Amino acid sequence: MSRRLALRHDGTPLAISFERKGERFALDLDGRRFEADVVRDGFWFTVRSGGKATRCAVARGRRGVWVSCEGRTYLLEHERPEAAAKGKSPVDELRAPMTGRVVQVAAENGAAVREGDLLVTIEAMKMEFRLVAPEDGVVAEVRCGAGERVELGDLLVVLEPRA
Amino acid sequence: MSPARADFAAGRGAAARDTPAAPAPDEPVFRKVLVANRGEIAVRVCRTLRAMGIPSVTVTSDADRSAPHARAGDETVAIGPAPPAQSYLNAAAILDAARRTGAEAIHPGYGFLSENAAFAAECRAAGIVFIGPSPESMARLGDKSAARRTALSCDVPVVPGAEEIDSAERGLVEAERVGFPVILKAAGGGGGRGMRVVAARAEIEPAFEAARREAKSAFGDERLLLEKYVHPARHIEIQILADASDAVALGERECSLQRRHQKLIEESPSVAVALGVRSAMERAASVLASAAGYAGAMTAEFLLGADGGFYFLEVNTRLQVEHTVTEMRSGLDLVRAQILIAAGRSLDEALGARAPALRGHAIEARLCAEDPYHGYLPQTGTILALSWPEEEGLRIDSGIAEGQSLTPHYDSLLAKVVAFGRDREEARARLVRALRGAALLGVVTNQAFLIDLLEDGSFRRGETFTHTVESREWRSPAEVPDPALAAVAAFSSAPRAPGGDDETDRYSPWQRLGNWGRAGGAA
Repeated sequence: MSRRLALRHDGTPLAISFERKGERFALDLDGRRFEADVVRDGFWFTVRSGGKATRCAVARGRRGVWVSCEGRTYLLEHERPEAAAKGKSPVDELRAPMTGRVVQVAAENGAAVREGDLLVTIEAMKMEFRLVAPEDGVVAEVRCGAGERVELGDLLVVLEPRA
Repeated sequence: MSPARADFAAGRGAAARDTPAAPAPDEPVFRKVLVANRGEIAVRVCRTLRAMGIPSVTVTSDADRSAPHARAGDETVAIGPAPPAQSYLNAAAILDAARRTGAEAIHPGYGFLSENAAFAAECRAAGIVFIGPSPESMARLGDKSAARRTALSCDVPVVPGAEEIDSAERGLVEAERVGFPVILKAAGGGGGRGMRVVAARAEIEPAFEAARREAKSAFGDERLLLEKYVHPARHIEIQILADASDAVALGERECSLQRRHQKLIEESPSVAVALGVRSAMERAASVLASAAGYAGAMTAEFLLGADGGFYFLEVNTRLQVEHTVTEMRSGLDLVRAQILIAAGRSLDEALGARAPALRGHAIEARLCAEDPYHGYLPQTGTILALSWPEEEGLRIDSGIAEGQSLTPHYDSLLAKVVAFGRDREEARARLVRALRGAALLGVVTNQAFLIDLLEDGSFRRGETFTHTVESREWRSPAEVPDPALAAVAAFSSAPRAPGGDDETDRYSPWQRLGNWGRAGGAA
């Protein structure tokens, strides 16, 4: 019996199906097939596949499962079927790219903006990030104010693209 | 106000307890020291204080109550809310904490109050020793234009240029004086806007107009200045230790690999610094220290051009983040030297019995909570799991621990990974091995990016310039997930057999973490 996982990594869907017998896995990763032995030794997992052993660490967090292999760390998020099916949204939802503080709101409700125009400036860890209009359009909604603290992914501005 | 030695006899027994295996610790020079910083540097300063037999006090903001530095000293004092202005930059709260705990001296680390002459003066007025230079030395060297004037008066070369470029004609006169290529810069700005590189005579007029327009729109100030354009350039700095009467230079560090004007990788020695250039730079840095009557640890930063010409940039009147590189090569503890000099001891005492000799090669990589593949955006989150490798010749100065939340209030530096080798390649290989052997889960970091930089042909060949990191598109390693990644994900989500007869799973972290596969596997 094969199990399937629908994951997303760095915005890209990643389909994994596998069968497991003890330590032995037969895997299919986006159509690539391989076999691997996975053994846990305390903090680390050792994965042996194709004559190569790789040490990995795994932890589960709020955002998904984190896997670290040889100094590279991957966050695997669950693919939400509704998100994948939705396709292109009719509006641009501009979300906070990081947790931080809003230092400036340049966007005004109803204002026409050009691609690249500054909408919101956020500051975190002594760095400023400028959120700009991804295309020409009209600001439909401003959901943040200067001085406010925002979390990663918070909706800041809704932009209606010019038709 | 160097305290007398006899005052401290009573405190020695308790302090010696912590370092039973070490040789007899120094006679403590202070009864107690407060560390006015956070993160890895606060932890690192406490380590030295412990080795010196000096009790330490750390300070914590509300966001840092459970941070490692809160536990690094003998006691800790809460100094205010998370924003730095109300805590780590809050001079009154820090001085109050020092008074209440009976600390005789304050070590400011780097950043925060470390280069604040007013704070150094307040410490002095409060009868507390500031472990750093005097406010007077700081004022003469810490301010960029004051430092440039000091350098000029000491015949230390600065980037040739001219201010008040108010016409293309005047620009041309000055450009021919300093020699092409030159760069036109907005006098009132920074961050790359309002800048134009001019390679030849014919380009000066359009460049002048464009730079002036940009300067006006970006900064509301159309004043321009002109400088010789040093390109490609390396960032080289000289470490100085000085007391009231003498200064010693401890070689250079190359810190050319930067992003957003912040250093990523530092090494010593630099492959580009020839013997003659090194001694000229060391002489220039020592002259600056002497001219300012500097006592303590100081760094003079220079730009090094391809022709071996170097130009003074600025002085850092504090301990540098990358001081570790010099420590690895010299065997010195620069924090210990700072403390001894601040207590009024001589440079000879601060250096110890041996004359400082530099050997081998050391490279440091800064592990930061940032996403190098998406504009170096700072990252927050909770550190879910953390493991550092151990190896001879490897030093890790870390300010993080499992379970810690990273807030957006502070710098993104998490840890410094420093490798020593008999030569550059040995140090480089050790550092890459260390970065590959470390695991930090729960927060996006630049770990893989550092490995890629260190493995790149340009780094191996020593072709490191200030523009190297940002002039290239570095590919995200995310594009092709490792098969091992999928295997572990699969392992982690495999269903346990009914009745829990699968021993591997019963003791796996997934037992504790819940069955992640159940939700995602139903597709």
